[in-house]
Amino acid sequence: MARNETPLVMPGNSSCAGCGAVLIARLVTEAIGPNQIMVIPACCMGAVATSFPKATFNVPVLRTAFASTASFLTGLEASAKAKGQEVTLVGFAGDGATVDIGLAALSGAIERGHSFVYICYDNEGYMNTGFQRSGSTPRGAQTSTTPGGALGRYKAEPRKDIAKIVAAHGIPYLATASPAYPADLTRKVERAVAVKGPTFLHIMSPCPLGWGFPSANSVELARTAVESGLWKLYELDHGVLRLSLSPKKRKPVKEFFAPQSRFAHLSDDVYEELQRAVDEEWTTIEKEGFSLRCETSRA
Amino acid sequence: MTSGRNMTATSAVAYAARLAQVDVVAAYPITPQTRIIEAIAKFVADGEMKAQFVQVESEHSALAATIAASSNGVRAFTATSSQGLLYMHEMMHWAASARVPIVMANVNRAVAPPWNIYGDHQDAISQRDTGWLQLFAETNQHALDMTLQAFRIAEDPRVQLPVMVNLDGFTLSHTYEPVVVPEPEVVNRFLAPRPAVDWLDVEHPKTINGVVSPEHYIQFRALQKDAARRALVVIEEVGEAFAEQFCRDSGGLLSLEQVSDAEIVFVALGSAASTIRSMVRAWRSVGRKVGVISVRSYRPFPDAKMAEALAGARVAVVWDRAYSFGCGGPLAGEVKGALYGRESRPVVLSAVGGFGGAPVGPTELEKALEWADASMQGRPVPLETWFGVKAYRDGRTPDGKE
Amino acid sequence: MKEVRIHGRGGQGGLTAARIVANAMLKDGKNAQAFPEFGPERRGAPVRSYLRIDDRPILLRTPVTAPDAVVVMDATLLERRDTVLGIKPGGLLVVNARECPKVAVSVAVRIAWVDAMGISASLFGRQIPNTAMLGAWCRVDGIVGQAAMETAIREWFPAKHAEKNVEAARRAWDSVQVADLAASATAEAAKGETAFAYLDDYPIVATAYPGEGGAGRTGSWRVTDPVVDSERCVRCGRCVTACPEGVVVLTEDGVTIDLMYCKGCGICALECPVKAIRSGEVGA
Repeated sequence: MARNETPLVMPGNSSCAGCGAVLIARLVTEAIGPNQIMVIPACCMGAVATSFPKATFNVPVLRTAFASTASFLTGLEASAKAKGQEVTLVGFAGDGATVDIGLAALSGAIERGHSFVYICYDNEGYMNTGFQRSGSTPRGAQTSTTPGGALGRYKAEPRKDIAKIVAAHGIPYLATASPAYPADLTRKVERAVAVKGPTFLHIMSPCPLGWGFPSANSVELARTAVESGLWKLYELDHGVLRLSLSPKKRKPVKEFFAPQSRFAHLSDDVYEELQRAVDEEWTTIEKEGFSLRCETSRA
Repeated sequence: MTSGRNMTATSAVAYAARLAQVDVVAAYPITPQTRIIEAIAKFVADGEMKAQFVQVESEHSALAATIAASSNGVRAFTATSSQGLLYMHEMMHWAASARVPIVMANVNRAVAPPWNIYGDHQDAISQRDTGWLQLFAETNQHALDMTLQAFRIAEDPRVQLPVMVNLDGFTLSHTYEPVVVPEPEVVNRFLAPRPAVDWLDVEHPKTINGVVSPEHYIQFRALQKDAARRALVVIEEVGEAFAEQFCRDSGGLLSLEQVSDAEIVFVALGSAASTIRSMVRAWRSVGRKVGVISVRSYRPFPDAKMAEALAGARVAVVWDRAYSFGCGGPLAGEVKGALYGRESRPVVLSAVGGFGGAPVGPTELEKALEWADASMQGRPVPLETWFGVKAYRDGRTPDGKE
Repeated sequence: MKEVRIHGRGGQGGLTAARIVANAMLKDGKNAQAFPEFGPERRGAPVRSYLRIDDRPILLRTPVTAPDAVVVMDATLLERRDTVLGIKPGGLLVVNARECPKVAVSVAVRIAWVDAMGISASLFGRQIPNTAMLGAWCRVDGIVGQAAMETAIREWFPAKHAEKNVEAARRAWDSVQVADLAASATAEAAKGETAFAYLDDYPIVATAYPGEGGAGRTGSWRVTDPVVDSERCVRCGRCVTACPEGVVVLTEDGVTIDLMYCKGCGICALECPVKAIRSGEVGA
């Protein structure tokens, strides 16, 4: 294990200052350790993975095309079985590669029950290509393809909830996590590695450039998302659903939205509406317990 | 005296995958390929084949999974047809540029719309520039033999490129004819285990196929180009080794019949070449100097060998079961390219037809011979003819690119 | 034809400066071509932009390798040899600096400097040096007159930002200084990757090996330095866990930060529960 003395994510890589995704990559990679093979599709971490001939990750990484993270994991699992190889297979993909273009492959791979850890670091849009909207961009966000403009065309639709979609497959283990709660994140990654069959982690990944906030605030913003009740930390372990954390005194949701330039156009009316929606959701959770039922409308 | 068993080309390919001791098969069903993966699934279910068989949710994922498995050092196989091959297109480029020695059977089928499940070559030809090597089988025996050879070619350290074995939908895939299935011990002597690769070694971690700058990018393309050219040598070597071991000629770059003294030479891919052989034998019996070249390796394209083979002919009739719209028959274009700058070369007539299961049979071939005769006699003839196409109401035919 | 190369960092607005000049040229009936260094832009990472100006339509479509002028939006970029590489004899080097910067050039050039950082900080409260650099560059280069430059700036920015940017350009126009700079270095391109001198040096697929500094010494991206107060530090390790780059290390003596690669994001300072890390001025 001498290799552990050197970092598993090398410093001086090409990630932006304050990048949430590379922080998540470091926490995840360190939690799993050197006996892993990573698959990274087109996404921010795909770009960060190499500055040829130097590699950022100190574990084997197989780069793949945008839609193919889960199908690469499928093939790797089959080959590992054929070779009798014991290794953790990790998919590390952004939200675009997961909830949009790679969704069919992900769904198929989970349904077939292959053993892998799939990490979706969710920076809520196509950040590597200049902040276009994805299916995971929250309602109201300004992106380069929902620019607002004279007609106020911001993203009009609520994000799709990938964790619920994944849960609907009856996946053995699913969790949400946040880089602001590294101990919780690490524990969940370790659990995912231990579980046989497909596992999925959905991790909020603040993006200073795309979301428009100072790079120092990445972790703080991720924490505010949890403390305001917007980003729920939970896990679904073989059918048992559990909240990892219930913020006792929730911060106003405005504290999450207001520092980000992509929400700069939101009025107090909207904040009140967003606050009301979150409050209602948590009132229900407190009354009826936490569930993954489908709300008709989400923030 | 015929040996072997009557079986379809799809069964023959499944036996080849089993004999090659493939480790991973990832595939998605499509007519007429389905019988290959059904047969493999049965072999695996009966414990006769040790492979990990995964039926995935799309062809894009089928090839992606096959690439990943091959990147991890095992022998990987897949099969598809038509729409499925087109759906793989992104991963087709990926497989070749990632230098994984995958073998894929492509059961040639027309491309929609309109919907048609029967044979032609538009699917394979549309993948021409992906970097795959492409072999074409004339018979069910070829389908088996070429699949075995394909692994040895693909895995050769001088090549390390994926190989597509093309077999015509229905004409081969659903036709029962005698096929000799070799003994596993004999196959093992022909096909060694795949050489090891260390791309995903956790003890020596590295990142494969990441971003590179313009300065470096073209270097990888150049290495790939040279590997594809080296395959010209390797395919011949492997074909000769196969012939020696199994006493059958079912490999190599081109198969020539009655070409050396022929005035008219037909050039074709796949099962059409077999039909043309039968016609050539009939024409020869009545004294016609006609020959045929079966193009067994479409990629790499044996341009020098093609030019040499055609040097003595007066007319070459190149049969395409695919088309490059706004340009012409793809194989005809490549034959012409091969003849560029050669002093001794035939007139090239481009015959187009046999799309969507339409026949390339005696009727079409007799007409083609008349056309070649007319050309040879110096009469004005179109350089391209579409066979089996109706005339417009005003009498115009769609035949002519003058 | 006049060719200009702008060296800046992602987020400093180098391309914007080039495009504003290009727009001014268009009004003047000239042809201009402004383009970025193509590729992903990372905030803080060195990035180039290019500008060509001519009376005739510009057909050349390659990066500028022999610039008539080099504009350097961030003086720390002068440490990179490629910043002044290829500059023409008698060319112009415009640098964002308070004093005449020390730089070795292989041919005699004119050097101009202006405190664009200071101007930008006082007007915007942030370091966006591009319009100040534009003012200094236009003045010493003479490519655009002051009035045309200010019109182009006004037309570029939304009304609420326009006047401040015009003011930044005007202050730089008034305060830029110029001197002659003699040749003092040999003209030699930075050595390329000698590991890949020949085609057979390459593996068959792009294979990258783990290594520090893939993107270079990313410490040069910093606009603030993390400053550790070891007396205050309680060794809790939160900064270690929260550092995206993994360059914060907890030792017996407290926290040490590898400044060669620290990008200066400031997360460690914000996350420190006892305020033992603060964001200070670079190199202070």
